Amino acid sequence: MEEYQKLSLIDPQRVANLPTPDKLFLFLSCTGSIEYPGTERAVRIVGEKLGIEFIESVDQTCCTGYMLTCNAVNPQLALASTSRNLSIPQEMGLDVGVFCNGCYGYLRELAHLLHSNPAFKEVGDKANQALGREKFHGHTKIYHVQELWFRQLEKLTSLVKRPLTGLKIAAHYGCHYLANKDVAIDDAQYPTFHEEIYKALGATPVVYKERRACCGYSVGRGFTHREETVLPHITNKMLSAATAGVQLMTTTCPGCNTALDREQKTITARGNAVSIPVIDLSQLIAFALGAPVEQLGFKANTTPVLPVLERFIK
Amino acid sequence: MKREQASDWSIEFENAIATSGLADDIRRCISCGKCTGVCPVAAISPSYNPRQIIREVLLGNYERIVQSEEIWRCFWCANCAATCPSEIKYPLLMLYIRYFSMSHGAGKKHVDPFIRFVTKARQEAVTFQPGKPARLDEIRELRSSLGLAPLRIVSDKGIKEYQKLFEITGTDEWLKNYQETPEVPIDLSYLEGKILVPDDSNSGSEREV
Ligand code: SF4
Ligand code: SF4
Repeated sequence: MEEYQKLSLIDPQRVANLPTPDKLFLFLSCTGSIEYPGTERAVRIVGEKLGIEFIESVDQTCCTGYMLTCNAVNPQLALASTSRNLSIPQEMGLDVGVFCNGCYGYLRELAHLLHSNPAFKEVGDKANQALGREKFHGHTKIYHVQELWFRQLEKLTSLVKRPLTGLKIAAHYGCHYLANKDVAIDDAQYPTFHEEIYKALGATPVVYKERRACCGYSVGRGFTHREETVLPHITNKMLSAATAGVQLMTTTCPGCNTALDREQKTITARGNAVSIPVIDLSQLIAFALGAPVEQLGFKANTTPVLPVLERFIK
Repeated sequence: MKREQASDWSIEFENAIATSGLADDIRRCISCGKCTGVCPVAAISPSYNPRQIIREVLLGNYERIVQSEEIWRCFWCANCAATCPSEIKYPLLMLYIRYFSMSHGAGKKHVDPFIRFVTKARQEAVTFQPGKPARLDEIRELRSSLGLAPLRIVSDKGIKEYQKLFEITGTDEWLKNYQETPEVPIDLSYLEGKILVPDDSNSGSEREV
């Protein structure tokens, strides 16, 4: 399946413009911390190998994007908490690294709204003022770690300790990264940079029909419309991956990972047996770079991961 | 039961969206239908049609939208926005349409399930922290084995500041209003997107328009 390469729409200029920082603020994800803590660990491991030190803050709260997009709070709360959360790295003089597509998309969109609409900016500024914090000026840059990994792909390649030869891996990009058309390093409809990463790790990328289909879980539809739309949608997606012979799938969002990993149990129980382990891209990279497998937290997964990775562990 | 009438349409709907600051100028929509073509929800549930929803908003058919079941189906995947030739950020429009619908007392059943997350997030400044002790123990054990803090805990300072945000942004007030507003009964009823009106010749049943 090398066909996909011919269509590569990766933007080399945008990739080149990405930094190779030695220090970043790590924005913690609620879903990540609870559902798949191994992802956070893996992000730190890969960061360490690339010489990136991640600094976190116990003052950082939930990004509030999920509650906003479920219409369960008013927009002002999400604007104010974005302004407040981003004032923390601003005070430290650091840019932000995010490992959840949700946090990434919400932070960027809300930061954009804050700076394109004076009324919204006032909401944010007033909030920070009331809390005795400095105004958020909007110069802090927000990166998803997946793009920082891609930026240093050559270095990553040179650090591979467990080449994943013969492993058939497929991507789930997740919508809330690709939707950022103005900065995303790849095309929203036909992205290929995750496949490039798999190849660098020695694996075989697999393209499946529903590759670009979303996980169905954002804005809470997994709670309100699970039977009606979400399950039929995820079933289509995972069956199309199974048909293509996918052995492992990666995500870049703990929310997507929850949907695609955990729902396989129900899909199987309803007569469509499917068992494709779903892990975070950072976990995959950390594994290929030789991280001890116990450090990657695969115990948290519903669909067992070790059966496909075992043969690479010496 | 009420039947939809063009005389009820109102430009106020479009104006309200324009002044929300959330959605772009949807008059740029050229009705090309690309959004609907790439929409995963439309693929499963054809009565959900983003192009049609934009048309209804532009026509001012707000009662139809306010009471619609379809508006709650959007996955917010932004496939539509990625493909839209007029650069319309449809998900933001949908976010606002849902608020608009709620302000008319509709859609509560699609929002109610999330209020408990908000209540908990207000206490902990983290969303989704489970309440069940057994599940919490599981998470503690796994996180500790990875060298992470046993639970993701926001500092007291962080929590206090977060709660203050609920106060000063009017969110506490907003939640109170939300909880006190009863769900308004829908007077247009739907069968997969088709509007039903009472059938006079056969009282008690309904027929499609
Ligand atoms: S893709 Fe854009 S311009 Fe075309 S119908 Fe949809 S919203 Fe309108
Ligand atoms: S964001 Fe909503 S309308 Fe747009 S493609 Fe996704 S599900 Fe369809």
